[in-house]
Amino acid sequence: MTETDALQTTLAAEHAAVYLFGVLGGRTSRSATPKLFDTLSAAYAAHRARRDHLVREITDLGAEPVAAEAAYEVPRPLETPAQVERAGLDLERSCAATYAYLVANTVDDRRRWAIEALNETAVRELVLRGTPETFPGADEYADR
Amino acid sequence: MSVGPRLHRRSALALATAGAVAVTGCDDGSRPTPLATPTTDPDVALVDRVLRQLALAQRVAEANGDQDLAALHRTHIEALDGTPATGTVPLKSAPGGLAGAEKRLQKQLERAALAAASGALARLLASMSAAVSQRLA
Repeated sequence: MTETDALQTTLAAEHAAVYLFGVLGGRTSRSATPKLFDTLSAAYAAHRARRDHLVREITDLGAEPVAAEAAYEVPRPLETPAQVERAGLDLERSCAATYAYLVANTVDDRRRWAIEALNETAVRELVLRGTPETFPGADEYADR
Repeated sequence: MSVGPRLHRRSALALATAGAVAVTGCDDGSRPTPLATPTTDPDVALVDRVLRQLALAQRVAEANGDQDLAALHRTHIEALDGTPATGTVPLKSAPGGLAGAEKRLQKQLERAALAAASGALARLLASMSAAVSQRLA
């Protein structure tokens, strides 16, 4: 496992996150649920920025950044704000696990970036009605 | 997503001593020649430092009556194969109070994650820092 491999894996996850947060935002009424809409919009912007950062990092390493899929499987059902919010929470938790993985497989500035991303994602889980965890992104330690 | 084995402090200590016993055959038939001088796993000292920081945070949380935070720190100590502080005198005060102590701990865990030689240890410490970030939010 090289740093480039780990960055590519994280980029693939960010492609999915950007797509899915876009879908979740599209299922959310700005007027009826403004707080949820703002939360999803902020998440979409954050993941898009991280995706772009990862593309630059991988390019700087001389590799070809992995491309986004044409589409991703959308969680169902997404009929109510609560279901949309739950899907967003699950997505952030998945991203937290990916960032924790990136922490393990990078050093120096790239690891620093991954640590910050893990912290930010863990905090955003709370905005999506998540509860504080003992080991965000590393659930297996909670089962010991 | 699996990212490697769980870290155990005893494992880290075992790794630290393993490099000290490597020897070659005898060059003159009488005495073995050491291949390398004893080395110390840098993560052992790092984990010891983190355990002290967690124990301090646990005592501050207990002194402030925040049992949830104290429990979090105890769980983190155990994840590093440490022993949570028991029967120690709670700290009546800390610079910046409980919130200040937690902010310092969060930064200390981030720095430790960045400094860890082991990727698995870095991941665990980063997760702990994220858990503290959630409590601070």
